[in-house]
Amino acid sequence: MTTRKLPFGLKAPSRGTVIFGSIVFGISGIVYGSNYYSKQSHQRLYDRVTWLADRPLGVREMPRKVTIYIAPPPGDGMDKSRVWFREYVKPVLYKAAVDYEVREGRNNGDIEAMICEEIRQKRKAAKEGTAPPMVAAAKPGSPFSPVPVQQNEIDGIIAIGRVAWREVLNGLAKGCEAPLKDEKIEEVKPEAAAIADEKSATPEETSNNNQPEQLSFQEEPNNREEDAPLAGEPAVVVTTSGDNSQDYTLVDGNMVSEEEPAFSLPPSFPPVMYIPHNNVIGWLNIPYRLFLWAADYKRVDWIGEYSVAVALNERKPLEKNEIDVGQAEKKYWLGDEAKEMLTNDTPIKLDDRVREHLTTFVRS
Amino acid sequence: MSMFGGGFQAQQSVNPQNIAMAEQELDMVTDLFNRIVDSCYTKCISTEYQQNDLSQGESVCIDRCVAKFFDVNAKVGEKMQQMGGGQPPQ
Repeated sequence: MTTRKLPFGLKAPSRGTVIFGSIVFGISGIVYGSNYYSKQSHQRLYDRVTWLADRPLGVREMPRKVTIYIAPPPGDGMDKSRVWFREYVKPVLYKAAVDYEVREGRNNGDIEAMICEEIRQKRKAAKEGTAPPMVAAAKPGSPFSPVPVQQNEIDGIIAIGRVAWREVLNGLAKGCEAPLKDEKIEEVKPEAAAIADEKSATPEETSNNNQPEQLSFQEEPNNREEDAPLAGEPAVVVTTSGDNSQDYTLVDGNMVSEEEPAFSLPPSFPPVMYIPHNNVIGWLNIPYRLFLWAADYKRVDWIGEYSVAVALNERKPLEKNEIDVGQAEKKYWLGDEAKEMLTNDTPIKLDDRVREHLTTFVRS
Repeated sequence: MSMFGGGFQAQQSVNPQNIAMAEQELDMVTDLFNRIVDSCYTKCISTEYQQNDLSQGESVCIDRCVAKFFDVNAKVGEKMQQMGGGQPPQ
């Protein structure tokens, strides 16, 4: 065996060293490359939004704020959703100076209840003509808030994952149908329910005429089907016989009168956005996970598009085909509990009356 | 005279401990405030001053920073009180 002479008296590495070296350098190369490319991807996203953060902000202005709803992916824990948000959504929001609040729905229906209540409060405030209670955040007595700042409205509802998205949309629809009265005064008016079927829908110019003096209108025998084409002027809130649970709103000039008792729309809906969350789990998917870990920039790009859209705040109406989204996520709903959800999974539906007023962010 | 005397007595009864506690409290609040200003300033305000106003990014950062500070402060305080249990410190 002839040994080849290497310069400077170096010896050729042994077989073991070669194997060791190639493994170490291979893995560290992959890690380095993964970090490098995802950093570049992040930078590309940041470049599109940082101008938003560099604008000056007046003393009495508030930055935009979005609410993010996360739910645990089926068959897994909440932590996965949190990490997904932290890794892919939050950096862009941070760079774009969009304030955010994360709300977690641990159990099925939590998010729905939160959104439902929010919409209900909005409708109630609009009907009574008062500001919603959350606006009074700056307490006059508190030393830490001497200047009453204009509290901004929640400027976007973001749902991460199909589970959360379904609950958000259901919550929006249910919030529009929920009775406006609080639970405790629910059973006060038995006689109002008795006359409810012969009540008249009389258009009123003012939006907060729900005092009992309106009872005089109920004598008119006209029904709501005849009333509908008569009402021409837009944005008239129709109140009936002082009963809060029955109201009909005119939306865009069309009378909306339905069988459900208390359907009305709040003055405005925040834009909604679905952000996919592919929670890749399962033994067979481990190679794919490894690949995704090495090529993290793909996910950064993919999810980053959505968060950039949220930051840039360009809106468009919510289309029908944007409601039942997230089918690809279902592939990774593994495990007993998830299997149950998978079999119970129905297409996400949304009432058209609500959908027409919803907007979403435009992805470029 | 009686009014003055009454006021004086009330002051007497308030003075020794409560004033000290109030001072301590004020110290604590001042200390908290200084800490907040320190850490949030270093965290959020960039050293490249480009405009006299706060930028959006800076103000969002400060907002969150202060909120987090108070949050943690309250949580730690709560925990300390729990750990103190029945016996008050000193």
